[in-house]
Amino acid sequence: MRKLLLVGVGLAVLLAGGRSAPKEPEGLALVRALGVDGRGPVILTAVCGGEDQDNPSRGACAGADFAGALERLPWSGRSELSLTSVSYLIVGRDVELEDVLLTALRNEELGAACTVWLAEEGAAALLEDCADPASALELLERQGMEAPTVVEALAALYQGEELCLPLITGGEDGPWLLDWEEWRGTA
Amino acid sequence: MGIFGTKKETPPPHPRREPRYKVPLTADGVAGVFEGCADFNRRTLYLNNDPARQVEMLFIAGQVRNERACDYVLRPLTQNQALREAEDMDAAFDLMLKGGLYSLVVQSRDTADQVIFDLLDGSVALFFPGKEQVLTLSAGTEEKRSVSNPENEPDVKGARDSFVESLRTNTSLVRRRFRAPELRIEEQIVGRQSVTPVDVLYVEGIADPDLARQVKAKVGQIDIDALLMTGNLEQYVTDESRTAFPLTAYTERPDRFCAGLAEGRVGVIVDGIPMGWLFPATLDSFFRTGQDRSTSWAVAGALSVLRYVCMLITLFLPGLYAAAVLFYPQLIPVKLSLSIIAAKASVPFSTLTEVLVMLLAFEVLQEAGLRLPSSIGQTVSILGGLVVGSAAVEAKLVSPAVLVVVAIAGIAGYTAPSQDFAGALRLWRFGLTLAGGLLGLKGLVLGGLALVYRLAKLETFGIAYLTPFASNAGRQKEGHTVLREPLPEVKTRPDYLNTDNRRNQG
Amino acid sequence: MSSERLSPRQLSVAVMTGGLSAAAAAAGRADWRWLLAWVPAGVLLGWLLVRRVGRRPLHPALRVLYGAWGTVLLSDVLARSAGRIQAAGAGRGNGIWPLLLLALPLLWMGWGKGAAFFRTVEILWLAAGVTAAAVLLLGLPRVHWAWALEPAGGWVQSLAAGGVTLSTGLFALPFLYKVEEEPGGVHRGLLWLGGLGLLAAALGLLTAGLLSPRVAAALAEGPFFAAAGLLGDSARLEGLISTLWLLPDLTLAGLLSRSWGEGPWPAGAVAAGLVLALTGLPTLLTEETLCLGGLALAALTLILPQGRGG
Repeated sequence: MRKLLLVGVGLAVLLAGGRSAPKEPEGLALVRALGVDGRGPVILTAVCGGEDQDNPSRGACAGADFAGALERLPWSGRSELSLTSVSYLIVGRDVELEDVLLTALRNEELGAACTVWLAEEGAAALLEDCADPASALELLERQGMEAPTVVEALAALYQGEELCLPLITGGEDGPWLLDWEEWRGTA
Repeated sequence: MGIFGTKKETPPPHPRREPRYKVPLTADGVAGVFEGCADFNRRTLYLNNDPARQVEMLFIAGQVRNERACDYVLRPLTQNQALREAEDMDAAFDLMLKGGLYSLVVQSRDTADQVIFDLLDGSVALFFPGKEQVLTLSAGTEEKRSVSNPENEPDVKGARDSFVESLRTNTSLVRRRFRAPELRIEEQIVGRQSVTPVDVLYVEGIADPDLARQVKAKVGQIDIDALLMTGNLEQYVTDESRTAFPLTAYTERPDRFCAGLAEGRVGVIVDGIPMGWLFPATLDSFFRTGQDRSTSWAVAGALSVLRYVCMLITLFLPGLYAAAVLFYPQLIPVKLSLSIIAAKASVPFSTLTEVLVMLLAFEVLQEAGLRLPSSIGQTVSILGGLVVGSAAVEAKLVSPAVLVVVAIAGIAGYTAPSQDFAGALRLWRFGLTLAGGLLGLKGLVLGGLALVYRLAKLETFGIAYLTPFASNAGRQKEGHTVLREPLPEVKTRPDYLNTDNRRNQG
Repeated sequence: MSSERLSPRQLSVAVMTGGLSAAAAAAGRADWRWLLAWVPAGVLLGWLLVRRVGRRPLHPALRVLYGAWGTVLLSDVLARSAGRIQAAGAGRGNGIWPLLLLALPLLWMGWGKGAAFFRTVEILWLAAGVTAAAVLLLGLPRVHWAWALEPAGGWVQSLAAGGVTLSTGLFALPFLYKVEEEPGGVHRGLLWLGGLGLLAAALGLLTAGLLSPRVAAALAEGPFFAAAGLLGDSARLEGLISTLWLLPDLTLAGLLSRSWGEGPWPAGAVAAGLVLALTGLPTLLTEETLCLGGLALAALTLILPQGRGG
């Protein structure tokens, strides 16, 4: 009787939709570089990388804020975009950086380990020009470039310390590092 | 009436008939029991060729060894002068009982049941007209498989003999290694129809007397028709019958059996089954091999760690793969994720289905390999592996990653020295894979918790199954559990065996 | 049949493993220095309580109080861990199903023998201990020591968090009379309690050092688990560590449920805790309330008469 009761409750949990929906990997495209522009509306540009060097999947969407835009992003490309492998967060000068970083940290998919980069002419413009931004940024990192992580950037902002982000610009084979720039958020 | 058929009824009572055969203790009476049996034989013999003195000889062909019956019973019966000179049949009976015939075991029987079972054991029965006792003389055949190499427990440095089907041969293999007179061998008969002798062995002064009593009581309580298979003993001796995990440890090696007796365990050997059981069995019993004591402590320790790690791999790897791919791809390195996505692109089945089907295919291959004759089994296994492996991947029925995961999990499972334990792990592997595939990592963790709790509930002869990893009855083992210490440093027997004598070396 | 006697290690391990649940919840929200300060105080209080209780069962009135407070804490543990696994599952659906899912194994264990539960905990400690050790080994080299030395949380909140963590030890007292006597058993138990305090401080230091106290404060739920996301080089481990930490959560919940006694009573405690969690009571409980409740229980244990027998 006891076992039946436990099994019954267990089945009820399973059948009543108590479990999270699984995501089959086929048809998924892993976003490696995520660009953020604007502070309301927020524009996101996503570029995948690695599986198809010639033509990585891309997506773009807008939302009232960063969290809202993130919810729309998976369905904005030709394949379903997955944010679980984002390694590079590229921001424009006009973003609400604190909000973006905190949302990224709280987001279960994005996580704390991705690095933050500042786009000279805006993230969308940079990512549109670059064929494979993830590989290029990975090369920069291997060359010794240590961009701050989401956690480091947010900690600096909270403590009122100077936050220097690598300033990058785009091109067919880019992006390339221009300089390091102190973050000054636009009002 | 039940829903799916007739309702399960309470089985009727199963009383024993005492005596089993209510026949007079005469040759005619006993012969009546075997009426119609082609192997039953009856002869009238003249004592020393004297027609005035006759005895009836009954025996069962095939049970009796012809040469023994002829040389040790017939020849002296007909040629021994002393028997001729005996005053009367009573004197002759007494003479035969006390050495007139040349059998090692001569017994005087006064019930029909005793005579009947002696005949079945290979004795010759001599009926004296008018006498209320019957002489039975042991002349049994000893046709048996010769002692050979242990097939399932090979050892590079150890002995090369293994148990056979003859109980007495097996106990002699034990006696040869364990010459202490304190070794007790106590026999019981189990099985109403098979009448199988079962020996309980223990070392007096070392084994816990209470444990020996419990084992003997459990064996004595087995009331079945026939003890022919290992399950007829294993599943009756333990309290828990509804578990996939084995609760009895067995070995086909006399040296391992004796090592268990020396530790303080109680052993059981059954006539007709070429193995010996050791009680109690705990989790670590199923991860030890005979080689562990033959190699250095470092090598033995490393191999022991490997076995336990492989147990975790075989249990959790398929479920972890399904959980990670379906619910938590962040756990997988990016490059591997990309390769899984690319490989999965053309596979029509869901990840969970793929993993479960591959696990099932692995089991099918294994089962088929066991059933097939050895001459074609290997070929079919290789073909099956090739077909399932390469062709299935080429045909995009499964992805290569799933194949690799299932293969690694399957091979890891084979490192478990006990096939029974490995079978239980395979069963739980299915459940954990299902849990991981349906609920993700939390399903896997909760499934693992369920497995641990299930094991924690098991006890054999009052000793917790998880000993020595968990405390038993308020006592914990201090010291090495997974890693083996150098043998000179293991000065005491395992605490949970509650042995009379704790110290095992100087 | 095996007796219901427990070994000193079983009880110590249950407190340590269950305490890790509270320790992870406190990490990042409390200053690790205050957690460290609790170690000698907690060990001293533990020693006094063990001397007071001795080898006797608790007084029936005290048992009722332990049962009641244990149920409240159980609801908090259930709600905390359900919230964590729901967040990990993309937050779909409402909070009932994760609670039920976690309650299932607790109900099953609550219906069984205490000896089986404590044996299970001995094994779970192996997994939890390895996980904690791996987290510390991977994390300590990555710590920003400047962040680790910054003050975190208020001193009241930090003290309260330390108190809640070490108050896990209170729920070992109802089982003392069942523990097999061993020389040095009590001392070793207190060492384990002290070890729990040290481990809690280490996890707090790690979280502060990986996230910085201000970032950790901004993360309402489980900053420790967010910090775990920084540990892997090629893969992210926060989900795995968060899920493995269910083992300490369920150990703590199981230990609390056993404050209701033996037989089917622990299952009843789980059911009661589940109901309380569903009503939303845990959202009203602050860390200070939980700490005060634990201290009150400890004080009552010292003051009230003890039970008889043993």
